[in-house]
Amino acid sequence: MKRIAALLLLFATLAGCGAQNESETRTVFAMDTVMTLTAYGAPSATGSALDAAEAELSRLDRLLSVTDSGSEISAVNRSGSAAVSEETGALIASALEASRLTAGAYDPTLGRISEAWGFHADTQHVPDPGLLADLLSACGYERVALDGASVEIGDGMALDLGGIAKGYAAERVLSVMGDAGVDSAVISLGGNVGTLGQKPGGPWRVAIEDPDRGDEYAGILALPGGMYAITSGAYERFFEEDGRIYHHILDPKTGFPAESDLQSVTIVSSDGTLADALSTALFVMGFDAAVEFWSNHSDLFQMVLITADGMYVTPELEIESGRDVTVLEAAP
Amino acid sequence: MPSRDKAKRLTTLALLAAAAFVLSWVDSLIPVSGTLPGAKLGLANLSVLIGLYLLGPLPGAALCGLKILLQTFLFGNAYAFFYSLAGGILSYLVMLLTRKRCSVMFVSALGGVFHNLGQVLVAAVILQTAGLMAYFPVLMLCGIGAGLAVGLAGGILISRLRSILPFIS
Amino acid sequence: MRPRRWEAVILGVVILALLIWALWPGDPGAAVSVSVNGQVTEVYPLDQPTIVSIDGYGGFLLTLVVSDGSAHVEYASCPDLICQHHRPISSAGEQIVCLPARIVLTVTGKEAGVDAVTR
Repeated sequence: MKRIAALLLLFATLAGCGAQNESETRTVFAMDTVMTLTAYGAPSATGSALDAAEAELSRLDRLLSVTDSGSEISAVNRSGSAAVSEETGALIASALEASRLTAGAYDPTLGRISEAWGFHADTQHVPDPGLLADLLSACGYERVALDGASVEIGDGMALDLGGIAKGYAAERVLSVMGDAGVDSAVISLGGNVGTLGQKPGGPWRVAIEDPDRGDEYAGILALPGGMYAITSGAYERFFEEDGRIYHHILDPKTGFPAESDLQSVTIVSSDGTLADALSTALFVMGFDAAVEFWSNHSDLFQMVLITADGMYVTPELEIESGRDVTVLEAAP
Repeated sequence: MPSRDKAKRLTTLALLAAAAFVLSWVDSLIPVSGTLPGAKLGLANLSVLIGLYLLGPLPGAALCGLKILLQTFLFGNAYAFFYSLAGGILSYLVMLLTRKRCSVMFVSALGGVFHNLGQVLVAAVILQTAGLMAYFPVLMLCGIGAGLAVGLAGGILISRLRSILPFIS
Repeated sequence: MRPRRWEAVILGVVILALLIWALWPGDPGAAVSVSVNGQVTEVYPLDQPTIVSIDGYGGFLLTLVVSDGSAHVEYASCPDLICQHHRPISSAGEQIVCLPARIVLTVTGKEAGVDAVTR
């Protein structure tokens, strides 16, 4: 009798799982990275939502590309000033806003510099320091004039929205999926994670990759829906020349890879575009300045900092980790 | 020990060394695909095993060293050196310590297992990966299988050789 | 000379355990991760056909092919070619190792209990 009851319970649980956890996952290659999109809901809704998401990603890929000569950004960079769509204008406005907020630690005008390093073309090399100094003197977010739908940039600079493109794309993709009738979804655009709605049966569990060991996790965040978790770290993309390692996160002050005491910065925020910009900016700032910045803007975001010494987490984040975790306190 | 016996023992060692040479060559002809480099059937271990039982620890160690060199430089490639070295030393130590308490087949099987274990450990260090687990059971089974086969042949040869070579205790 | 009874028992148990371990059906894999010198450099989903060249240690390179839900090494420039002869891998936990190039290909499963990874 007991056995039958147990079996019935098992079937009931299995049936329950089946009904609740219908999910469909799709892998997409866009914006030079692998993206994983998972939608929960009825099969009819998830399929069309994923189709819509894929279409949106290829649209954004064309819109935001720095390498595609047909993109609006390329047009601005070629001629120094151009009329742009409302969407691109708004995105440039967000980028400049993030630059002001971080006092230039995030700067979307370093296009020529990353070009000189060959980060876009996969022809990475250390550029000539003289050339770099010349290029750097032409950069600076203050020298971008945005008036509604028309953009004007300073001579010799180039816009590069790569630092916010995936955060923005994550927002757009989740919005498109929501419109297509999906209640909950989780996406990872090359490691930039976003959540939509409540996951059936608990919070979204988002792991943070261990900067030292790529196949392990430093910790697992429990996130509600509508949040973005975006990480920057020197380990993501780098090359070696003459025995030195050069990573891809450039310091706008020097034009060289930022010499940060941080191994990785994970920003958690309801604003995906901002989270993307901040993850880069706080990495460039280094540990002390990043903590101070968070103290002053703790209403905007939460974060996890990983250094060689350990892991530092802001108090409102829920995290499980096998490591020692230090909870940061906001300066009074 | 009369000097004649000494010469005979030396001759036996030389013959086993020659056998190790031939067996290493045969070993290199038999591919063990799907496993880590240096993971061979381990036929040359037959010489080491017989040397250890009939002549003692030092001659056995000399044969083991010869086997490692042959595996690396004559019939393998330089990448396999550290794997052969670690595997060879570990397996020889285990056989040395267990040879008086266990049967030849069991000693040989242990030798095979620890040979492969040593290789996995070195590979894990060089690759900086703890997770070579996918290879572990296969390598252990190969080690046991090859070890038992070598041990069976070795056991027979050791008892026959003992009866025809009177200078060996 | 033959194995004694206790030796045979130990060997039997160990062989059985290893056989079960080796033949235990793995979970179907979701992706193949590429690590060079201990660092994961790329992760490729198994459901997307891919051909990619991987630069390894010591100037060796190998060509990874992902097709029909499995991954294999089509070509390797290393001397022993063991990875090239390895059968395709498709279950979580399966690996192909190229020691000279210090490349490890590992099939990863759907992460248990994790919805996404930020990096």
